Amino acid sequence: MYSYIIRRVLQCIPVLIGVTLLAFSMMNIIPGSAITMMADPRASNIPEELQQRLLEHYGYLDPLPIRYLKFLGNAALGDLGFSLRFNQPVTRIVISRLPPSLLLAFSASLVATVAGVFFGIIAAIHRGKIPDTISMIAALIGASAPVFWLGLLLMLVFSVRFNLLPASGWGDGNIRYLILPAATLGFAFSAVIARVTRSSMLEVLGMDYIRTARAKGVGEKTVIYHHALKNTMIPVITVVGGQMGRLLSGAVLTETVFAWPGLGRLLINSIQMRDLPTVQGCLVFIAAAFVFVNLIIDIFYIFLDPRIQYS
Amino acid sequence: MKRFIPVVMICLVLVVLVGFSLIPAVASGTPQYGGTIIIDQPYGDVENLDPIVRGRMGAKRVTMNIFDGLVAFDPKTAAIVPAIASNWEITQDGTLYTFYLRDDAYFHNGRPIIAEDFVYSFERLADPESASPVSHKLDGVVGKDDFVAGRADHISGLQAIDDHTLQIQLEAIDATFINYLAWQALSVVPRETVEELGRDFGHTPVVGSGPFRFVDYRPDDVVILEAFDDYYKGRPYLDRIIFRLIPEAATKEAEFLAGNLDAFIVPAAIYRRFKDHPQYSQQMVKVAEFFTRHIGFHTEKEPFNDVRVRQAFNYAIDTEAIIEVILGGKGVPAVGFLPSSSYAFNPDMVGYSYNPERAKELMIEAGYGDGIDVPIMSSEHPEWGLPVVEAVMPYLSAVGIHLKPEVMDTGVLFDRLYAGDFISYIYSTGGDPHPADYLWRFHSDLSRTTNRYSDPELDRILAQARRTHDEDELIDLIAQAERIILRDAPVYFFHYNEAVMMYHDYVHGLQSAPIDLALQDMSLVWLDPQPER
Repeated sequence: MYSYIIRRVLQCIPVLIGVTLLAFSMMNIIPGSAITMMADPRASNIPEELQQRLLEHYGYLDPLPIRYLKFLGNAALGDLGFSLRFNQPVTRIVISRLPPSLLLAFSASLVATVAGVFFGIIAAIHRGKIPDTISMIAALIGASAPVFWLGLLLMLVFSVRFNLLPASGWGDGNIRYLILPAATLGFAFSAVIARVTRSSMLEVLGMDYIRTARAKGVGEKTVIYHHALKNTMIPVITVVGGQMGRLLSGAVLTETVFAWPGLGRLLINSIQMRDLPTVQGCLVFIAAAFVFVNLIIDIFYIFLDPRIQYS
Repeated sequence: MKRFIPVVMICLVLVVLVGFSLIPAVASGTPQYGGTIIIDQPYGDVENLDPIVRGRMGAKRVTMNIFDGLVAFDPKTAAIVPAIASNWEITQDGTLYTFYLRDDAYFHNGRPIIAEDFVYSFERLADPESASPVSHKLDGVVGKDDFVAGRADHISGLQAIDDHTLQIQLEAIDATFINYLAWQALSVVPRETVEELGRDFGHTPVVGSGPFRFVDYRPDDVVILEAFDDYYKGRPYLDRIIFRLIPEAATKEAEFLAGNLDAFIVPAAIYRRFKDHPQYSQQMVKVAEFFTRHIGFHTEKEPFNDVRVRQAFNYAIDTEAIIEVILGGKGVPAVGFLPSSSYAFNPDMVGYSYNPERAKELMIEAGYGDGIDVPIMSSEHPEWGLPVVEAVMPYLSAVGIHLKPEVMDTGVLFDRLYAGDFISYIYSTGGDPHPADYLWRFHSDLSRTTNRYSDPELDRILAQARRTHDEDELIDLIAQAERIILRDAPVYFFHYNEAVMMYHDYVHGLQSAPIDLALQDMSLVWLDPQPER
């Protein structure tokens, strides 16, 4: 299994090179200059001579392939370049956004998984009855409600109306600030998890070994939570993993509504400001996070289903 | 008679008592010290607090309260007022400035400020190693080019005569120069701190000399400042300022209503709902900002190479209706390019009125009686982007101008604008408050990189306006310039942004700052005593 993990980690390298190459080319194809955006574009433009000097200063006059190779060389040493927006090393900027991003991603995943699995099981056990209908309608609403709408709604109720929780901000990690964004983001993702859990559970409940267990006289609770649940979880874990990768890459809408200083907003603003080094830095992290989460999921499978072997 | 004495005594006592009871009521109008204000940060993250690193408004709202320069903009009129320089002299030929510095101005690290600090700060701005996008603010100072090119170790036109006298020699008279000295890029910074911190100056505690000192900066979240006790104009009223970055307008509104935001700049969508509110409509600061929202024309390309089409465009639109419907009334119709807050604004100016018949005639005269398709570059901005373009389309179609919107982000828009790759665009541009500087975008020097408009007479008048220190002459020249610009209509004159800031009733001292309402001198702001938040 260790050789498998090492192989997977090594597979990251071409993925990261591909991602950065793609980002690098695209950012250079789209019009717009980081230098123009450095000045206040609402006043007059920077004089041409000064623009040239700045481009040279930031190494923008080198040919593209040279610039890319320089980037790769530095990235290999952990230096993701220098941000024009912040006048700071990109590595430091990206790292400063990780605590809020990770906290939001993990807590939203937790909310989504707990709520999704719970309602999925309820729906499956009571298939065709009222709890099933209610759970699935709730899931439908969750899947279709835009987070900016749901977020504002929660904010109006819990902050403006009842003044129970802070409306927005990150509050330096204070848990009270986390509740609304995590609930908003988690609710949207729990819908998918609930539906997958329900169908997976129904499939498992129809299997021979469950009938055997019931025939032996095992109690219904033990059947559901001991025999069926573990096998139900394999497709659920796949979905949760995929969602988590997406959440780690920044939940821009949620971050915007709740003024959450995460990676998603950093990435979007940096694209608008044409700050290529910061965009690259964010993408390297996001790609790495995706690969890492998928690796963890693959390892999880082994524990859930001993039949799965990596060798 | 004896009976009267007690009555008189009682009356006197009553008068005194009533008098005392009135004192607190009177006193509530006098500024109070203390308290923390939470205010919004409307233009995105400050990104870096070093005043020379960024040219954008985002940081200026914060840095203007941390740093100070020789002079400043008056918070209400944008006229030049003393700051660290208590007074100054300009020679008859207008090229030599002598600034006399106060002797009670200190950096936040406690060191007194001397003239040599300004020489260092200005040379740091010009130094190519600093790579400042605003270093051109020093253009015109004698010896700047030699210094930039490495031919000289110092800028010869900057001289510290003694600790409190600074001389700046310009190559030629330029009356707009002193305005640049009021911008944050030309603030004074302490050499010892800058050299110790290097590039981190701007991200770790920055040291300035303004009314507030730096406490904390969390990217995309907050900037926190606290009162500087030794500020030369006296300690500011507020103990602390928390600038909060909240990207979403609806969230700002929620935070304001929940009492977690004390004042914020209101976008049109929110203004629409509060402008008739019995309470909050009374708690707003409004100003016609130095931002002229307009549709620019490429004056060398068809159809806008014909002045009649440009005039027809201006006649075709019912501007007041657009402002009312799309902006909820948050805008002052533009009668020229120079905003109505400028001291050089001509109150007798009459802009284009809504006259579709005249517009149709002009289109026929210009040979476009059958109508023409006109591409327009636009962002998605709610107040000077796509919604406005969509709203003016039917008006223009009625006279034969069929707009074809091309939606793009501002990065693309600027690229194409400067490259001349457009027919028309919609945008909101501001500028320095000196009227000659504000209109300079129509001088061939600058307009050749934007809408390619050029008029030799206008060039001459604007150049003359830049050279005069006589205010009456300046106002007269600007009026002439405005008449030419209005006649030639290189743009559709849309409106001057009416910026609105809404605040709670316990907030006092916010100013109607015309350069940008966000540029609030927070040393003037004070709060009524508040219960703990």
